[in-house]
Amino acid sequence: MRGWRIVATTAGLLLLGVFPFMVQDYVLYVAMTVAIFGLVALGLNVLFGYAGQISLGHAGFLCIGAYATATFSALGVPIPLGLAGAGVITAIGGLLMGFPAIRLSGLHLAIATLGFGVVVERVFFSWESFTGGGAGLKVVRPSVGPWLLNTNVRFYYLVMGTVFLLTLVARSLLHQKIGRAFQAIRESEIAASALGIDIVRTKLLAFVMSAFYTGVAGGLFAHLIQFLSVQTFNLSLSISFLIMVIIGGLGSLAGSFIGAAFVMVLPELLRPIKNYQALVFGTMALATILFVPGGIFEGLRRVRAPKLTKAVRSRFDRRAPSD
Amino acid sequence: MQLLFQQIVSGLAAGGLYALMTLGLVIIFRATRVANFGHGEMAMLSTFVAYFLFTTFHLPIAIAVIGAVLFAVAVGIGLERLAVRPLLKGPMASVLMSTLAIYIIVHESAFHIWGGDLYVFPPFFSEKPVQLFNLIISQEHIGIISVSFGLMLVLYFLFQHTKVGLAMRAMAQDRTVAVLLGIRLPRMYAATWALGSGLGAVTGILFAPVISLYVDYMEVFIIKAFIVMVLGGLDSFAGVVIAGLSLGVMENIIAGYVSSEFRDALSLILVILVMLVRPSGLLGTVEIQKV
Repeated sequence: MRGWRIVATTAGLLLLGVFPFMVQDYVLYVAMTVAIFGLVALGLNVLFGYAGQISLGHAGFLCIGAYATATFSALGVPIPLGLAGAGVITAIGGLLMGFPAIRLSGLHLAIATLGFGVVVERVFFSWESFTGGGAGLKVVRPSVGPWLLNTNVRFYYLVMGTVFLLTLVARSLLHQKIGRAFQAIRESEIAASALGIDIVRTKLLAFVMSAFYTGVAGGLFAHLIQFLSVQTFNLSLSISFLIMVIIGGLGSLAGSFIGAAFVMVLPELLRPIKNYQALVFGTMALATILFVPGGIFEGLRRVRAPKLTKAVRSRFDRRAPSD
Repeated sequence: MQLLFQQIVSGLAAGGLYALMTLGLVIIFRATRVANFGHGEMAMLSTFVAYFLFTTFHLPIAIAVIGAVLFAVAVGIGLERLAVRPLLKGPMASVLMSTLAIYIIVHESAFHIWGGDLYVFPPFFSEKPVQLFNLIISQEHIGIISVSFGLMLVLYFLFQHTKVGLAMRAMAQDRTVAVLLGIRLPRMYAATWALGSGLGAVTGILFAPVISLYVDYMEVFIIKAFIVMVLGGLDSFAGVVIAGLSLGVMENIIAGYVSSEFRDALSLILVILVMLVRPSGLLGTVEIQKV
């Protein structure tokens, strides 16, 4: 089994490596969008799928990361530093968002994070000297040392390299103590704190890590689309991220990318029926939630920590009394 | 001092709208424990229906409004049956996602049909301001304040003095006992969604002349409605009314004395701070966590 996995991973990586030479520029562009949004979904999955903290404000984190990178790039900061810097700045935003989350949960948290996303959108829109306001902001493709990543093919390797590296880091982190702590607070905060897990620290860490990933993705996104406008980072985008995570499977890292592919590629395939694109997409998302909830929550079961008591679990499966 | 009073009056008008919108959400939430994230977009859709009934079909405005409310009621009942009820037994996340999917479907479809254009909604009230003592108040504000307070009184009567209202309150308190007493849950689910959606449509129509109708006109408004819902305590009618009016007044005072540009951001930050101090809201039921 292990040998088979190594072969599969190598083959997958090789395929990703030669991918730019097999497809049109446009397909490549869509593939990069999938990878970048997949990274956001991964970040959100760490927060929601692992630590159980919902967020309706991830478009706000993406926005912070995108504008931070754009600014670093305009100042001539090398791209690896720029991306890392954007991640760190966004992580500070995540820390700020994490403080309310210490006391809030469920619906309250959903609404607080939703408010956070809107605050970011509003502030950035009004802050014209920094973001260009309604006029938008141009971003150029970066260069790494002597190589100018000015074509989609060249930029592709930067995107895939960053995404691959960060996915590996997340994978290894989540298999360690901190990953298990995330799952423990998801299942029951009281039980987790009884086990000696510092709830405040763990929740804040989940927000910081999630925001860092989203910030780096924002940086890549800024360089990919080369033109930033604040209205891109709206509530619909935050909801799309959540749909990616749900469709891909809560707590499944690979699922994050599958979810992103579903959300990003489906509208492209629906392009011929442009006017009904959103309708079909939304309906399909709804249908997935309605008819294959087992498939969607498959991931959740797989990463579920050792079974806790029924009473604790029932807090998560809020059931309506039978009609 | 005069400026302050003016800000308070326009704040009460805005707050009345926030409270009405949120009451629709809370009516649904109390009975079914579902936060309908598609509420604002459904109101937007109904307002467009009213607009086209009035402009394209040349119906009298009253008929157009009634038509739009009936449309909202039908959509509310249909969505509850198709997209919400099948998920009530599942985890909370799936019903949440379902209402978010409704948001996306309605919002994006509306954008494809109507684009980013502004539609000037006919005003209900004359634009001539009236003088009251030494205050100059627009008739629109007076109109909105009276309509929203009137509707709140109607709702109060409905919940306190009718059988349906009693059944809805019983459901909110304890669903098992409500069923034992002979209340038909499926029928009540439909009734609460009908009432909530209809109320949303009325609020959307009242709000439309204030800032013109366009596809995104509910975006910030619905977020504030959710904020008000949390502030008021999720399931308290009185709490929601107080929270809605306070948010409206607070915003107008911030806009008048601090900055209108950062009004939304500042009020949201203030609200997050309030939530930190009192997560159960002003008058909400404090949930005791049992292990």
